[in-house]
Amino acid sequence: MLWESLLSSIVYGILVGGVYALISMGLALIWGVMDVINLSHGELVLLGGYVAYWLFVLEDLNPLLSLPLAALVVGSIGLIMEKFFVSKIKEAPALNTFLLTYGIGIFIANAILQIWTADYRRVNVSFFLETVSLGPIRVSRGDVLTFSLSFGLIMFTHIILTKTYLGKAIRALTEDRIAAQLMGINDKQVDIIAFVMGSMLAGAAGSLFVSLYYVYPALGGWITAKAFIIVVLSGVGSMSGTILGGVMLGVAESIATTLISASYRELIGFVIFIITLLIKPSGLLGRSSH
Amino acid sequence: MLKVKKINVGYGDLQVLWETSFTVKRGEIFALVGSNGAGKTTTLKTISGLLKPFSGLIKFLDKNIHGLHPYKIVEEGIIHVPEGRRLFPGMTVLENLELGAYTKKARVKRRDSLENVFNLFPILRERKNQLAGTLSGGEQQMLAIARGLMGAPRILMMDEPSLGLAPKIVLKIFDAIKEINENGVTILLVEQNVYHALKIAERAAVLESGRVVLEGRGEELLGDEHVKKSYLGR
Amino acid sequence: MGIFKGKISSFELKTFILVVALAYMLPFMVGFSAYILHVLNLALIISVLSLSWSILVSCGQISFGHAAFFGSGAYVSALLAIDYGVPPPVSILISGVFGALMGAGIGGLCFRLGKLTGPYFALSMLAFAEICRIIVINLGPLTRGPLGIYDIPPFLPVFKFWGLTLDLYRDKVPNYYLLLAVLLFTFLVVRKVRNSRIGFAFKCISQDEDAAETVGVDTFRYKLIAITVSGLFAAVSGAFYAHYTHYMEPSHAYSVSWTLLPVVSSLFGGINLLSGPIFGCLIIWCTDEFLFTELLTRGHELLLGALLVIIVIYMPDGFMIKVKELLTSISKGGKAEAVTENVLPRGEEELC
Ligand SMILES: Nc1ncnc2c1ncn2[C@@H]1O[C@H](COP(=O)(O)OP(=O)(O)OP(=O)(O)O)[C@@H](O)[C@H]1O
Ligand SMILES: [Mg+2]
Repeated sequence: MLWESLLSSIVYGILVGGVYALISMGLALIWGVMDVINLSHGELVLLGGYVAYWLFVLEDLNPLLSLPLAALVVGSIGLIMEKFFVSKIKEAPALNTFLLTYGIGIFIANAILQIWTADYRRVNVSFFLETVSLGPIRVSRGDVLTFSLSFGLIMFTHIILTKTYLGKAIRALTEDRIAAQLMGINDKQVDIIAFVMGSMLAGAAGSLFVSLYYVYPALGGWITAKAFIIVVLSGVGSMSGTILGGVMLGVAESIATTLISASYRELIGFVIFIITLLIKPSGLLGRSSH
Repeated sequence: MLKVKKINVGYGDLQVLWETSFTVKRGEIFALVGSNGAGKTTTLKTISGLLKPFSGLIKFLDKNIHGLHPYKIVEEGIIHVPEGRRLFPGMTVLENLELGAYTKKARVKRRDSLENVFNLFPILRERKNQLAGTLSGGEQQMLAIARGLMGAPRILMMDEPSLGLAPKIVLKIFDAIKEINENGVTILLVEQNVYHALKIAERAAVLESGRVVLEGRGEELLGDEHVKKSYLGR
Repeated sequence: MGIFKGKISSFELKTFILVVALAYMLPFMVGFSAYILHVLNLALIISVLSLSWSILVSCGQISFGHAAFFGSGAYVSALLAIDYGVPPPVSILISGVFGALMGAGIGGLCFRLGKLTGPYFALSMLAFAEICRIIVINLGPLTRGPLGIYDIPPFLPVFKFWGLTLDLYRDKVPNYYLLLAVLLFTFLVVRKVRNSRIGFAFKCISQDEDAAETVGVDTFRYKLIAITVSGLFAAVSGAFYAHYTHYMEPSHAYSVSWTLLPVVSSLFGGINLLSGPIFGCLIIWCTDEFLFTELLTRGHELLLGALLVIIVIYMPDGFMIKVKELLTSISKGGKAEAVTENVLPRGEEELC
């Protein structure tokens, strides 16, 4: 009995981990290219979720279909953020961008509160809730679908990053900004593109997230923390690492929740966060900040 | 072809270059030599747009280029192979080379350029799918030069390509530089290895504490008493 | 530089006396309006929190979770007073000790075990605040769970003799002076610390931790001191808040506001100035209370967030620097401007 539920929770953790990985990918992209840890990342994900929720309620649009729209809306917000705020203080100490994105996160969270109130929202598509059985394991269709979509989006991003000139420019900037400039890369322009891409990924992830979980305005910090921890676990810009990190976090959380208690679910998330930081002292992320 | 005129450059309050001037002519190898901290790297960084001069001007083919963004300067065909190579260590040799040909002009020619650099440095062809960070020092320097060549340079600026290499490899690099020049690329060479640099250079300038103290033909400078005493140790 | 030092501090002393005198007279000036005094009292409490946050910043560490100390201080003091009959002045002190221990504990974990810096530390503070909140919610028997605590006794006594009651609490004025004294005390302690050798070490660490380490500064020790002192005052501030407002519940105790307000206030006032967090906080709190909450009954933090963005982009050194330049130039006549630049380089700590 315990084994079965443990097995289910592992499978569930893996499926959820896919969405986590997608969420963290946007954060890692921006972090890598611009050395900006976007603390409002969680709020951008939330925003994507609410857009999907809205489209679902108003237009009865399936969250999987509203995904591109959510990505577009959040991408535009990202564009505004980069152009009018983040790029203004690129020369300042890293601490300043940190505080800046913290402020932006608070702003977005409370804007969400103004528009959608503090109620818990979720997209409930009955088709998603139906479970399918794989031997002794039961998983919901929604989990499988969102996992597949997340995986697909991660692959897609990976292909852009490795196969296109733009993607190579983004990676070059991540590795060595000066050298990249000497290749003729317009770094400011690529910064904007990377920021928008990262935000679009956040928006897309949000529309998947809202069909798995309830969302509410204060959830942003929690999401940012998760994304952050995955990047810490997996390093910036490694696709397999990101997926692995997401799955590890998902499984750890889900096992701990099964073994301990669901009311401590959030607590477990944060405890895992702290423990990861403590035992992995800037480990993989101790990458040079040239 | 490239004219640097009375530039004053520095970092914050610290001025490094003082009224520095020199001219590089089309098709030649021009060497800029000097001891540590003389400002050679600073000069190249200013030409490639990484630093903005306080005053003075830089002309390339009669066009003012000082103050332009680095990427605009690369588009003009001025390619800077930086000190310490600065490869993209987590990317493959081939990807590094492709990035060398990032500009539109270079991208069109990238197949030919690739063939060229592989002929110049055959070892790179063998290593093309290896990560740049795992190459040996000499191979890395070859890749850095090759990456510069991929950008279809009209003038190639190289900052201490012989730094930290075994004497045999140094000779190989200098041979390659000559060959590149014979293929029609103008070269601005910054070196601490004064002897080798002056040997292959048609003309050269000596930079001391941010000022050009001597300028002339390479052979002439090799025979100059001051150069002999200060840089050649005889 | 040495020559000017005396002059500056006498000027500072004058300003200090002037400000304290003004603060003393403030209740008269607002006509003893209970509402205004109430808002001011809260501002004084939160100023202590801002000061505590700025201690950590002076040591180069940003915390995004000072609510952890604030809320825990509030809970410890309130529960001691209600469930164990500890008189509030004592329970407030105990909560301060609790905050200091908590700070030392978190400092030991983050700075020694995890060797966390910059963003890593800032975010783990955020996590600690969340962990505290969830624990308090779930420890129902001890903390009364999510519903919170009512009727927390005030810290000023109610005297009753022969049918006559003298309720020092209901009257906002005694509270005002008491809280003013608490703030002043905190300020003087913080000033003492920051102007001492310890403060000098803080400054070295904040400028370049690795360099400080290589010249032999025991960075861990000083960061531990910073977070301990910071935790102490943040907890005391929370305790005063709880006793002053009578009511506490987990979401409020560990609200993001208690993290956001010190950040915005300190930056607005200027983190390089000792008094920056205080003046920043007084202004921000009053603006928030009189303006922002009027504009947006729900989620007025939206405007605080926007303010933070504006401050970071347009005046990262805070508005107080500008005011101070102005004051100095007035006190020294027309040609002071150039002098200010030389005598008071950015980052120099002074009284006002
Ligand atoms: N980023 C910088 N910030 C401040 N000062 C710098 C910087 N880079 C170089 N300098 C200073 O400028 C001066 C000239 O440096 P530069 O690198 O141009 O010398 P160089 O001639 O290339 O020396 P080397 O042969 O050692 O490479 C030196 O005194 C150096 O300390
Ligand atoms: Mg150099």
